[in-house]
This record gives sequence, C-alpha cells and structure tokens, in this order.
Amino acid sequence: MPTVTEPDEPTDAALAAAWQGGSEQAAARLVGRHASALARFLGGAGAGPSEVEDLAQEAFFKAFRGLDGWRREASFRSWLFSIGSNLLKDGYRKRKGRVVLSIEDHDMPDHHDPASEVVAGETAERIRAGLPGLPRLQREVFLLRVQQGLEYRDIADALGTTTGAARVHYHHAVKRLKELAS
Amino acid sequence: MTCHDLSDRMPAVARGASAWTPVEATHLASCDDCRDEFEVVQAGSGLAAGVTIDPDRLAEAVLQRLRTEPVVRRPSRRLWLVGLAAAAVITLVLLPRGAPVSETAQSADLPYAVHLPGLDGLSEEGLNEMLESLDPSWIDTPTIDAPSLEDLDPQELERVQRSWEI
Repeated sequence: MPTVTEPDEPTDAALAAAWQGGSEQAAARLVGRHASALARFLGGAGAGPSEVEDLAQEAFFKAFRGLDGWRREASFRSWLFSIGSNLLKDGYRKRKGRVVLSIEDHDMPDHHDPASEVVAGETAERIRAGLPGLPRLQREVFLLRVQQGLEYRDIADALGTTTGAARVHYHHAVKRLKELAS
Repeated sequence: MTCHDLSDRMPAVARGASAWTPVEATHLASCDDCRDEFEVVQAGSGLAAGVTIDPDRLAEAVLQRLRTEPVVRRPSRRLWLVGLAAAAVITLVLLPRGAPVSETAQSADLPYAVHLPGLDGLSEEGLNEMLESLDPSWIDTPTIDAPSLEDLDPQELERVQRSWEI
C-alpha cells in the first residue's frame, strides 16, 4: 500500500481507534495523511477543481461517521477511495454521465528531455481527453493503479469488485488509452 | 521477462517508486507494445498532479461538521428483513385460500421437487436418522455450479461490465 508509516508513527487503525475514543487530533492526522492522495484521485477521476475539496470533505466526514463499517483487512486509504468513488458515482448520475476533466499545465509529468517532453505532453493530453470516455470502473481502476500505485487486491476492495475483474478493467483501460494515444 | 511481467511493474516505475532492472530495460527497449503502454502509464501517473488541498483546513472543516451535525441512525438491514418477514407472514395469513390442492399436484408445480416414494413410509425419527447418516459435505455442496466473474473471458466480462455501467 502507498501509505508508509514510520515505526514510531501510529498506524491508521490506531488513529481510527483513537478518534473513536474521542481524539480529534487523531482524526486530523488521518486527514493529513490521506487528503492529497484522495484529492488527486478525485481530480483525476473527473471532479472539477471546485468540487474536489467538497468531495474530499464529504468523504472524510462519511469515513469518520461510519468507521464501524471499515473492514480492517482493507487499508484505510482503500476504504476512503471507495467512499470517494461512491460520491463520484452519485455526482456522475446527477450529471447524467457527463464527466468533466480539468486540463491544467501543471498536470504534465516532469521530463528533462525536450523531445520526449513534447511526445509525453501530447500523450498526456490525449489521455486526459480520452479518460472520461472510459466506463467508470475502467477509469477508476486505471487511476488507482497508475496514479495511486494500489495493488489489484486493494483496488478490488476500494471499488467493490474482484481482483481478477480489477485486472481485466485495467487492461481494457490501458488498451483503449493506448489506441487513443497512438 | 514477458510483457505481462513488465506491465505489472510499470505503475511503480512511472511513479518513481522503483526503477527498471537491466533485464527489464532491455525488454522495454526492444518491445514497441510495452513502450506504448509505458507511455500511457507515465501520462496517467501524472494526471491531476497539480490538484492540491490544504489538509489542515480540510481537517478543521471535517471536524467542525462532526462536532455540529447530528448522527443520523438509519434502520439496520436486519430491521428491514424482520419487517419484510412480518409482511410476508401477514400476507400468507390473510390471503384467501382456494380449493385444497393435493400433495402430488403441489410437488408437480415445483420445478425441482423430486418424489421419493421410499421415504413416504418413514417416521420422523426414521427421516432424521437417514439425514444424519448422510455425508455432511453433500449438504454443503452446491447442486448447480455458480459461475463467477473469474470464469468469464474478457469479451464476456466486458459485456457484463457494460451492462453495469450507467
């Protein structure tokens, strides 16, 4: 999992237990630990810049209110992403399937070779443009895998599917995006 | 080294969490398909890199809501099930009964009913004894193979996935 805690750092489970025991500081530490990753996932999956903060706030609120529903065999981050994914799905339904991805210069990956920078920029542009056209699960599996670095098992936990299906979704997404990028 | 092996490693390398081994780098240099895929993965790993959020402000907003918004308790699933069961019982009790139907006719209506005349003569005790003599593993063995998503080929799985999409 992408969350790496130092040996003397409390685990997510310990912080969650402390929050349930009344420690607001523990809740704030959990937010600090996962806010950026959640924001990037939401932004990559189609939330507009103005929506990201509201969605992240709602996801953490629901997470803290529903901690009893967190199965500890899944990571806290996977569970948080599953809440974020459901919020996106609700928003997607309300917008009748329209997904808007913001195009910002600072989304470009860092490259030092000017020639490859141009190619990578074009590829990134095509992928940003093509991502909204993918089925929701393909889009979210792709993001959780390449942007967040989650393993298929954690992706399956986050999106309520099986490891095998997550793998298939990923390969379909990559195949479609490769076609778009070529 | 196969394309599949390399594909599994791409997200970690694209995110800078790992680096190619010499063997992997050699494969990548000689395989157009893997290079195309890695380009897509690299571009995907940088998506929304500029989306930032202030964790302190977010934490304060979340905590403020947790302090002030009342906890809404929804009826549990168990309560719904109890309600449904009660409704079913009431429906059965109040339903007007038609002409009595013979046992043979009833079992003929059931698609999976099997008539075993040899059991008709057994008392309740005898039936229990016979049940206990059965291998318990038979009872847990499903009679129909339940297909799972893992059994589908990619085309079938995609059709199922599309049917789930909105």
